[in-house]
Amino acid sequence: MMRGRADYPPAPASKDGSPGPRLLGTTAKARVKGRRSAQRRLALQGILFVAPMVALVAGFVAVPLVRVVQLSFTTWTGLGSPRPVGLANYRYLYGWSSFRTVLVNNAILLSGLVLWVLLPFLLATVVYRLRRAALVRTIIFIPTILPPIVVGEVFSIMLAHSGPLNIVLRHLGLGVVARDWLTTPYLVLLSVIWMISWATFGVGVQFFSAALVAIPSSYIEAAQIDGARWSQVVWNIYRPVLRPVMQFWFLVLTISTVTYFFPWIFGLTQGGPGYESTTLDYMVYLTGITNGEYGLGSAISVILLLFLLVLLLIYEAGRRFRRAYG
Amino acid sequence: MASASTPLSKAVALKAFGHKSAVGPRTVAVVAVVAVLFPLAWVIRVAARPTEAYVRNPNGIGGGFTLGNFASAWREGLLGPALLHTLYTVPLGAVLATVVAAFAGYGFAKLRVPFRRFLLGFVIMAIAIPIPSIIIPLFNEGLDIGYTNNYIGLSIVCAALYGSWGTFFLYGQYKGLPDALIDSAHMDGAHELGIFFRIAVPLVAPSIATVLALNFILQWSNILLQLVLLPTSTKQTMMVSVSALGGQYTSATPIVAAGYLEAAAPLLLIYALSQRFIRRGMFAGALNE
Repeated sequence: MMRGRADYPPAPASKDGSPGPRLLGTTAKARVKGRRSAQRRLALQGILFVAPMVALVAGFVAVPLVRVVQLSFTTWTGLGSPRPVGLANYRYLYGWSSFRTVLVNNAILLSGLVLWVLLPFLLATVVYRLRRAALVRTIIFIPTILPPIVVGEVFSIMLAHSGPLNIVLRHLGLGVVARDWLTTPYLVLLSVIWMISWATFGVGVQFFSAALVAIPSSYIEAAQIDGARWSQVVWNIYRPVLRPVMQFWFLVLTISTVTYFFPWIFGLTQGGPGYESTTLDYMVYLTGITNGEYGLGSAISVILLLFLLVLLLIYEAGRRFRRAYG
Repeated sequence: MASASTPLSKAVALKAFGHKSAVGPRTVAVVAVVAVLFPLAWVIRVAARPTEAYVRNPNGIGGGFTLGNFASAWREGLLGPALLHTLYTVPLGAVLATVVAAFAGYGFAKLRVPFRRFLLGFVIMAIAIPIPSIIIPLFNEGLDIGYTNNYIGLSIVCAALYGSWGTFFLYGQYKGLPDALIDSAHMDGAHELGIFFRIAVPLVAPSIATVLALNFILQWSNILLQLVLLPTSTKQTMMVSVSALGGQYTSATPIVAAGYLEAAAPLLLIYALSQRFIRRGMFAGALNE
């Protein structure tokens, strides 16, 4: 890691390649001492470079993290000081049916990950050898720039009861499929998955395309001359080559979306109907900020953090398993 | 690759993907582009339809064009002041996040830092912490310390929450610079700060531009922090005002749609200007992993 830095600073006299006159007289001990103090000075400079970032993370991430765990064992509405109540918040959540709905919602939305990773992967592999691949990628990237609440508004117009999607379905003679996409339980989660797929698709395609460029086209041609089907090419060439990117994209989605549905939900349904599209992070907002129940909201925050921790552990376990047996 | 256009590879591609399979790659690309563009085009059309035409037939596309909805949304949603409020906090937040990341990334990659691994891990840990999970203490502490309802306060919080991924990303970029380059500058007697500004920063400048552009886009869109940390109605940002517009004018969909497009427009502009850096950064990020 620190390769090449261990011998720094260079001996003061090495500028012209020969030991300087002053240094000739010093003992080895003194020389070591001089180097140590120089290293200390260097370490101080290093600290100054990283200190602002470390301090900001400590103040606005680490302290709030500790605080949220503390608050989760109290009841507090902002007046006076938090009153310790032990596990009462967690016990309340255990018995709260709406909270169970929220947990189920999060579990269902998690399945969206498959779509959010696979769709861009497949499109990238299909498109990247087209002549206009760059143009296609540019167009597909546009929605990813939109703020999530704008995407939410776009889809609340698209999926409205008599919105364009249902009209198109009726025109195609698929009127039976037309539904109230945003007000029917479970269907509303499908709408959320689809919306996020639309909004993240372009980034995924971008990531996968970056790695696809590295595959020599002779591989694919050889496979095709040997009569490989498209599905075989995908499975045997694209999948192994793109696996690291897939894992990376999976991780990015886990951190940025699966634990942070808030802006999407806020823009599309505001958690409704009832709690049918409320997620853990949205519940934190509803309970902790809108209702001002800081203790209960903090308990939900802690569960959100545990949910993330489980996801990351599963991800890491999968990686280790693959490395050991794959 | 050049061989992609040779007659042989074309013939092979046709054989494998064109005539035999039911859907060619070109069809797939067209379907994907239409699926992506249709919702956007529809909403733009809705925003540009005269309200009377929309009320008469919400599902049609006829009725002529107007820019009146954009003016109405701007006026009724108080989007002018809201844009100013956003501009008070987001650019500063983006710059702060980028600057602390540029320094920290260099420190971790090229300088001697005590407990380096621990501190680097500490900063990287922050990338994974979802903002909703700490929003309650951020709000309460903000009331105590005084950064709630303060534009600069929000910028500093954003620097903390968005600086960590920038640090990690730039750390990777600085790591790629040869140590010999920095050592030889040391030999010439350059100061650490001089080396940083004259050698390291210019060499990773495109990556720093990537971090700045993405920070701008992410912080602009971050409605949760803006909603919670700028709760006073006179300090509402663009995102917050626009979302309130949706609640206020449920009947006038074209006006709401126009407002949302106005809130997204600056980002499309930023994207158009910094597209090169954003895409480049994504390539680097994906391949670094």
